[in-house]
Amino acid sequence: MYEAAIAALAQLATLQTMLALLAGVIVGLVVGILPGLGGTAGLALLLPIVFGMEPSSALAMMIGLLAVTTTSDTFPSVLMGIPGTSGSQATVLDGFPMTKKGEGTRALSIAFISSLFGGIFGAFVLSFAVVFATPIILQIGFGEQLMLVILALSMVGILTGANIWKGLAACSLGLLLGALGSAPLSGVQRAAFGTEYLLDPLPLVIIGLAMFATPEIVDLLRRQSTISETGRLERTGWAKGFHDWRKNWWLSLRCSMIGSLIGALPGLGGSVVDWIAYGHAVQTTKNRESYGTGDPRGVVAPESANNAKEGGALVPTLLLGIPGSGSMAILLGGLILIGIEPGKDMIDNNMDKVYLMIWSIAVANIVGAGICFFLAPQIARITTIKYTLIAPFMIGLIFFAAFQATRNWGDLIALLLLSVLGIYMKRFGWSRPALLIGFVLSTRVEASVYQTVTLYGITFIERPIVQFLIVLTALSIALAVFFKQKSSEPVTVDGPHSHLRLVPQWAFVIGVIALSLYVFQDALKFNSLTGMYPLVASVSTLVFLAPVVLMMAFKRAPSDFFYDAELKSVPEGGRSAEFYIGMLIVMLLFSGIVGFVLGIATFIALFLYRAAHVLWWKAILGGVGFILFLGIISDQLTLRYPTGLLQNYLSLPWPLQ
Amino acid sequence: MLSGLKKLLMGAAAALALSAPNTVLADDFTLEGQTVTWIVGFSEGGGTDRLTRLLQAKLGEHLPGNPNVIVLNQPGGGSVIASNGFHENAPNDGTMLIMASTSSLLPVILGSDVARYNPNDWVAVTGFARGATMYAISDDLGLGHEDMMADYEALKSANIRFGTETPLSAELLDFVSMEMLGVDARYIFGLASKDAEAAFQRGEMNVNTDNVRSYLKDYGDDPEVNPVWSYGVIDENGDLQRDPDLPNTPTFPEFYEAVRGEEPSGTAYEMQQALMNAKVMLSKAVMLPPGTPDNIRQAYIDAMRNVTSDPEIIAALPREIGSMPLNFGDETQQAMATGTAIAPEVREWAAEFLMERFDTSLN
Repeated sequence: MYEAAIAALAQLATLQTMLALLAGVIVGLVVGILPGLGGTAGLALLLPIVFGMEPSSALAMMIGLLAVTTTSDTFPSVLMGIPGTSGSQATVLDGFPMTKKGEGTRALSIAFISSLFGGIFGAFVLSFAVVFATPIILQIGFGEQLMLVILALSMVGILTGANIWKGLAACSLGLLLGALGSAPLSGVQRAAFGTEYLLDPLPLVIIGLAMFATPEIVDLLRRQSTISETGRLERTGWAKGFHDWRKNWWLSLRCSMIGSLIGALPGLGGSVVDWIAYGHAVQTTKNRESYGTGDPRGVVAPESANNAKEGGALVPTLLLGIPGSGSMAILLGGLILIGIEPGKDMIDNNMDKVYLMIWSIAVANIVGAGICFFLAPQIARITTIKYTLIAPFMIGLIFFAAFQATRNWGDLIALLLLSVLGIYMKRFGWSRPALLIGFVLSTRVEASVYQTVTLYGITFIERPIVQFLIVLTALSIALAVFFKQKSSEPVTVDGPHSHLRLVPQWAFVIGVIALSLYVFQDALKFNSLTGMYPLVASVSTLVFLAPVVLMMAFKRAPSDFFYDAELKSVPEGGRSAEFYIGMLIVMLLFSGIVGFVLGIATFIALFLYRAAHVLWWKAILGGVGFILFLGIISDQLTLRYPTGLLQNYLSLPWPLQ
Repeated sequence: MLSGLKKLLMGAAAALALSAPNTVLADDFTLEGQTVTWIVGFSEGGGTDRLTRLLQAKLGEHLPGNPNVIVLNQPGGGSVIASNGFHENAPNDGTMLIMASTSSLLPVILGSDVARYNPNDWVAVTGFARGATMYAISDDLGLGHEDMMADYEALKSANIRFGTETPLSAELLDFVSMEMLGVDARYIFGLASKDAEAAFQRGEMNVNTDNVRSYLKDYGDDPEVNPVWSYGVIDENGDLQRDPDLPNTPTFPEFYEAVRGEEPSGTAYEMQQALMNAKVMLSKAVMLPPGTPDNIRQAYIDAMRNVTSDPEIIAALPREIGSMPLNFGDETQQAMATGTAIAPEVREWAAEFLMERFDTSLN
């Protein structure tokens, strides 16, 4: 083992391998920063290059890329409130409020140190796990996976927001959104609104953008002139961030363990790791009231976990040849391409390659975090620029990101519709994290309940690991019950919790009920393999909504059941949220005619001219600049953009297709 | 001396014959300065994507004009969405092609509404055959793999647990095969192939299906896991032969004949053969859009022949698809036509079977 580790270090220390690693790290950082793209897209890009390369260099390059996407994805999450990859959705919750308080550099500093620590911890775990983890992983059967899913779902209890019923309904709505489109157990298309787009379930990346990015963009456009409320950046943020991490090193270590464990075990998948770590942080620390308002611990937890996850996910990939995540599947493909066969054989005969990967993870994390630290002061300045100047570019960016989900026009429409949901959930105080957790877990809930019951009936609870997980779940629920989250706003007649002027809230609730009823009646058409899950999800949404409806109908006093952010402070001279929604609709309609590239560029130029009041030629320059950006990305990453009617008649030159 | 000269002449003639189409075609068709888009109807990282990216690097080198070849992933509905779009909109000027797979053919074979395309209208370039096998944890099922009759009795009384994605997936081949034998199994759905394989490794499942190449890699030297049967390969005469990588394993029809005392026949068997053809013979297929002119088709066939005889590709291909021979042009088109020409009564049988066994309808 030691010889192999030393031999691997010698392989990595050659100039050629180090350069390959560096190249991988740089590509990884770029795809991490770009919302909607992550390790999977980056690795796909490398595959043809890797083929024919010397194995050590190829390995270093691929691992270098994978190891750092969750480091750089922090930039958009923290600075703009746009989840960079699905692994950093939870980082938005506290990272972005810190930025709004002018603490962007501090938040980034915490995030990079946590990422670095988590990444190295993951490599450390992997170096031991390759020796003994196989029997442990083989213990995690369907019953254990089901309990892991339920344990993860119980995290919702602590993230419900001020009102538990609205929180549970939001989670249930997330589970319900997961029921739209093809059923995982039968492949039959259900609740698809007659669209081909919903042959598959809704993509997670779009739900993430719609819940966090769009509502924040609209809100900021209405309320603030810059992202940082003070319009400035703290100079001392770097040191503060390091201090924050040191104070919370124990939390960082725990979350790194959680991250590598969930990465290694079958059943949950990588995209829920950040939420579990965040939930764990809220459950196990004091002074919980500050979570969600810019608490450094809310950044430490997900960022430690999402980098540690990569080392964990390599465990089943290398030991059993079974990929632990989407990006691991493609890494597996890359390994086969260069002639390395993961599995028992690799552990027996190619241990030096295993250690080469482990060293690569560690070195890539150090280099990646280093580059991010180096770049951060410049990038963080974005938070002090007038917001109307950057908002149109961010809108362009989130639609670009959404389109990467399935490269279909439906992606853009889904983002728009779900963004409307997100905007009103924010306005009416419905927990968006709860919805997201429900959605992330929906497929797993559906599959693992069915599989466990079909295979074991109720006898699965006799298994010892299942019992241990039941105890953990009970603890997690107990913590949620004893912890009563209070609203930060006073419950008064003239505040947002007022019982007067409920019409907009009625409209929202009726919309959710209508969606539930649609899914309910649709589910009745199918057999139990297809219809059972949507039936249960829609009924549970309606059940959790019932108390809300009753309170709205009969309660005649302010209550935390009621919330309307519009009642607290109407921004002066600002436009309404509906105005901005209308603007996005017009932008998409126009893109339908001239294609996305020209559509978004026109939108950017017009927005800069009309809303940000820049000179006309600068506005046009902004639009052209974005076209160039899209063109270069499409060229380098081999992407295509949605076309409009125009492209049916005219073949336009790069980059206008 | 004479024979030496003759050899030389023959060699020269053969070389000419080989190079002739290339030079003629290069005159009137070139992709110089263009970008060729290769559609993959699945996410990055799957088997179809990997094979495409392996070939992508070399395809541009061998096409006239050396175009830039890019791979575009359009996941959705098991490649149905990408196939619909390809069928309806792809330009047939040689700048767009698709990597079809078994999943692209399945909805067509079963006559499902969601597929608005007919792969027989597409212009075939190359087909990749890939062997498939059904294997089991022998002790768990009481299989000895010596006497097929004894194995058959064991299978009939065993508690078979088989994990698969959905009733309408490529594993339908295994369901139909077992149905023909009257072997009953507990099917657990919602398991993508990697999840089914993980469950098999844990012993929660005791039967699994995979391509032969993956089986050999994962269990080739594991005495506890053995193939029950393979699905074989169809030779140039149209006869079913044993899988070249599993020479000691009976094909499904062999197994059937040995235990039932008669050759398999009837509607169920016709469906089984169509599914076998789609899963094994057309595991992956490089296709051009409907109406592609012949010279472009020929240029692609030549290019793919050259790509697949590149030493690097020859070394890497077996790791992706095993060691079955490739087919080109007419041969591929023929396999496609045979595989998707389903008589109405066969489809009816499939619909009834799916309804009865899985309470699942085709549309």
